[in-house]
Amino acid sequence: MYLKQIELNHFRNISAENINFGKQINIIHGRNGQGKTSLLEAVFFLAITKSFRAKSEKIVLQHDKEYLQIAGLFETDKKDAFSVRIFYSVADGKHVFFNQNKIDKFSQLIGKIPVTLLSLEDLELAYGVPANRRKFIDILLSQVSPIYLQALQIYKKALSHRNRLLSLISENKENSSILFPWDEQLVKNGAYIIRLRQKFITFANEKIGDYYRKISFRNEQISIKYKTNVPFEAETGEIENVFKQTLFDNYDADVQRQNTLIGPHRDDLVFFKEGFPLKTYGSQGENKTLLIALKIVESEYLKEQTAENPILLMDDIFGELDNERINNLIQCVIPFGQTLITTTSREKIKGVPEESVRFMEIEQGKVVK
Amino acid sequence: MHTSGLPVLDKLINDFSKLPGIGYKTAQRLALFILKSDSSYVSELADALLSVKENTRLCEQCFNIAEHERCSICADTRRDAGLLCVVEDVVDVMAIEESHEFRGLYHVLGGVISPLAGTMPDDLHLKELAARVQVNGVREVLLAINPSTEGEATMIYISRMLRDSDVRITRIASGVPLGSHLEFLDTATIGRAIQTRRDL
Ligand SMILES: Nc1ncnc2c1ncn2[C@@H]1O[C@H](COP(=O)(O)OP(=O)(O)O)[C@@H](O)[C@H]1O
Ligand SMILES: [Mg+2]
Ligand SMILES: [Zn+2]
Repeated sequence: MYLKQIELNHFRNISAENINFGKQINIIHGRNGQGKTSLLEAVFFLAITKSFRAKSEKIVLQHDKEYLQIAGLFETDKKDAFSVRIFYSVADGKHVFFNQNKIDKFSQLIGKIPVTLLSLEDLELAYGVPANRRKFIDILLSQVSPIYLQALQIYKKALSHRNRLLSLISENKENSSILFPWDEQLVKNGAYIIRLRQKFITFANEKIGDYYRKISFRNEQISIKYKTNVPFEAETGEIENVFKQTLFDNYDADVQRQNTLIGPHRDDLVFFKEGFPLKTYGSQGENKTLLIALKIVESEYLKEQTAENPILLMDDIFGELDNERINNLIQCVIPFGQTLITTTSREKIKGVPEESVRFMEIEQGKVVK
Repeated sequence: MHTSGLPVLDKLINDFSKLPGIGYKTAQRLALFILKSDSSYVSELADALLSVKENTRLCEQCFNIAEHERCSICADTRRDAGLLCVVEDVVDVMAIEESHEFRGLYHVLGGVISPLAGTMPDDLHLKELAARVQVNGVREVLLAINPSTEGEATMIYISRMLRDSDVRITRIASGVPLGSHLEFLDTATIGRAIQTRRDL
């Protein structure tokens, strides 16, 4: 996927800007607080219809303005052109247009523009709570498969109903015989969720070590484990019966806690270096390298599954990486098509083939060169 | 709070705005329309409103709207009593009747199971469905319930409830709406349509 042009109005500190991007590496540089992250945020917004850092549209609307608009012209790898426009105003709410046609359900857009994002906040992915890692894998797989997104929505809803029933059961207002319609949907959709997550982890395990070593210059083994409390057989791939049985076995504990303790909503990803969990033993630098490698794997997976190169967004991640590592990193992402990278230090990027890179400087919400 | 300055008018606007799909602006327009209409029209309308309430009830067999103990569909002897179509609500009966495709009888549940909304199986006409299937020589129960999470749960519940009876249980196909272009459908809908495909 190639974002040719973006037009922004009243988005964060960007008043009105029309920006053309290059097909491969785009380096957006400038001092702190000039609008670099905001620009990536706008691109992400076009693809996912949401911000990655703001909970509501109001926050990204430029101060004292009535409306905001983001419009993008895209070209697929097969050279089909299309446009997406997002309009928001406090009075009218959010509206999404695909080729000028208004989209009723925002989820219809998800997956049309595959995108992966890497920002410093993603360090939460390495250190933070399991929910962060589930969110990462859920966003990725929802882009890969709309049926995954649907399964996830049904699963979450069935889970809320089930938890409500557990409360009623614990108060003796209902009995266990009315759980089965929800259990059945948890099992069916949960098994689908686990299967797709497991498939991605298998893919990631084949790839992540190479990327990690290219960026770290260290010959270390990296692996990822999908940790689930549904103890399914890896060999047969049978999940449904095991899940059903585990739910059943755990019934008393669930009632006591008024909460469902079994299922993919409690799963986690664990990253290992040389067999030891990175979260506990790894340095911050190692965790960061792992994340970068994971994001490249994510891009590769999106490319493989959707037959379309994703747009890769990297927000201010160079930090203490030296020129050589940065160079290696850029070499790794060139095969995945368009990449937008922000940095405060342009001079760190040297030796990248000139025809692959476009530089632009941003100052007070304007592209100055 | 909006006000027109006339309490009688405000009351009417307020009552209209309780109707489904009617916001304040529309309620105001409707109320002004009534205000300007002939008295004869207004009293006819008022009679019609009272009359639906006073002269209708729920069919004792299927819980559709009826003027007598049985609704006009249940009373129609030409319809196939061996085929029951289970729906959530009376509006679904109307929608299916408009298609003229279905010649059996109905069973209106009065909703779907939803613990979060406080609707439990006992709040729906499920026991009555089980009883009907037992006695009336029913061959097939067709579930025409929206495939939401709650709708699915209700269908699962019914399948389990009727498991030991000899009836065939079917559900309406979900998939591509007629007259729609594939490219504008969300992929999940297309996916579901492909999963439920059938032979030609
Ligand atoms: N809703 C908003 N309206 C106007 N300015 C905003 C809004 N939200 C953030 N800003 C400002 O936009 C500037 C750019 O932020 P950001 O894109 O994060 O900068 P950078 O990534 O270049 O360091 C900051 O000075 C911030 O205070
Ligand atoms: Mg920034
Ligand atoms: Zn009837």
